[in-house]
Amino acid sequence: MPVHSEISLGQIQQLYNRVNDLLRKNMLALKASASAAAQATNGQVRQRHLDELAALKRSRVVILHQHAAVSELEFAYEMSNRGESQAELDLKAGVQSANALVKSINNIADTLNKVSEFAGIIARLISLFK
Amino acid sequence: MRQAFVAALALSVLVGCTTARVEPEIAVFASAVRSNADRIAPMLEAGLAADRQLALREAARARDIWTFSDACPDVLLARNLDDGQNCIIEKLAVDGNPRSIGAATAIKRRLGVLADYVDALALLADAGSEAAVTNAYAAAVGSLGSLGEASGSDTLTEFVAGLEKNREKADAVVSFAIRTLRYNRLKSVVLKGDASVAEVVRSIQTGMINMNLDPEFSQLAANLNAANDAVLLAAPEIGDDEYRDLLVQLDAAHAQFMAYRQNSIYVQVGLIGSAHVSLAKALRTQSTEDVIAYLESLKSLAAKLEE
Repeated sequence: MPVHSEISLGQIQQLYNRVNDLLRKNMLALKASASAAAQATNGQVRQRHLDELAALKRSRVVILHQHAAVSELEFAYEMSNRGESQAELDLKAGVQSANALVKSINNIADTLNKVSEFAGIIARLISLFK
Repeated sequence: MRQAFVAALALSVLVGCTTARVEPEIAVFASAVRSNADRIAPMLEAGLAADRQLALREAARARDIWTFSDACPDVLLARNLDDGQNCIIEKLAVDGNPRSIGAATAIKRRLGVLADYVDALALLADAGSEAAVTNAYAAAVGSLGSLGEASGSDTLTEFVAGLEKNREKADAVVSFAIRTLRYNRLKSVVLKGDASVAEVVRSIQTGMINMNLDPEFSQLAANLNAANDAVLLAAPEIGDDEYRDLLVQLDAAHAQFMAYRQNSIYVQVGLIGSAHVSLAKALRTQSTEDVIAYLESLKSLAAKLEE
């Protein structure tokens, strides 16, 4: 049986999604500020964009460290959830359902084969006693 | 009219829903699972031995009761009439504490689940089932014909003649029915299994990373993270040459990591997941463009696996 723990794989995935979303937004902001700084003709305006860039770079490092923190959670989850998971049980159910169909098809072939064996035996018996 | 209907059925089978359409995907998925299982097995040996030691220590601490099973006394005297496989060691836990499961043990079990799944899909995709049934049908009709002749039964001979006349039609219908059943079952099993395969694959990956089966991967990843942080956190007052060195290091760390990752067992295991995604997509989609696109991606995947 799956071991219950405080956090689920679904929640861990949500955390990854959220951090990745922050990374995307951060990159968009970096690109916007970089292009604004490149186009700035006024020294003061350019400096403002450079300051923005410095702040965005620092927050990117923080977001990356959050990503690493989520991965720590994921690895800890693996350590405390090594029993048979629902996903494994579901795959096993799929295996059973696949094999059941193959088996029932084979049963049809077996039945037909028995018909011909039976008919063959009767035919031999008849020819012996004719 | 009926013949045209049967022909239309047979054609629709060829076009739409045969498992033959996804045979390459199943083959790639199967080889991803099998080649990985073969590659991982030796890596797990030490871990499995450690897991066994751990299980023994826990069993000793809990004073578990181990004893041979009831079948053993007879087997010990060669009195058994079966193969003796029922003579096992029964292991009874007498405490309620959950036992630890080692990473290697969990990985081995999960790979086993994937291997069974692959075998079941391969069996389901095997067109041999139709041949087995139609051949058995032909044999049955033939034997009944011989029986009709041997017994001199007109009724039976006429009945068999009727069967013989409709053989082709019957074969087409039987093949169609079985093919459709197999295809539908394959589709439902694969679509239901998609999320589960992804989760099992990821749990194998995280288990392997926890075991540190590929230390070089982790080292190169850590180098790339550090080089990336170094550029972002570089103090504004450092010199151009110093900053230049940080850029060079980031480029180099990236190139090293990207060159290495393809060969890492962590990434190879991930291919099991992507192969299954392709298989599920192939079964879900009917569009030619998508079919061509995934065939291309599978080709490159197969090439990578053969390296």
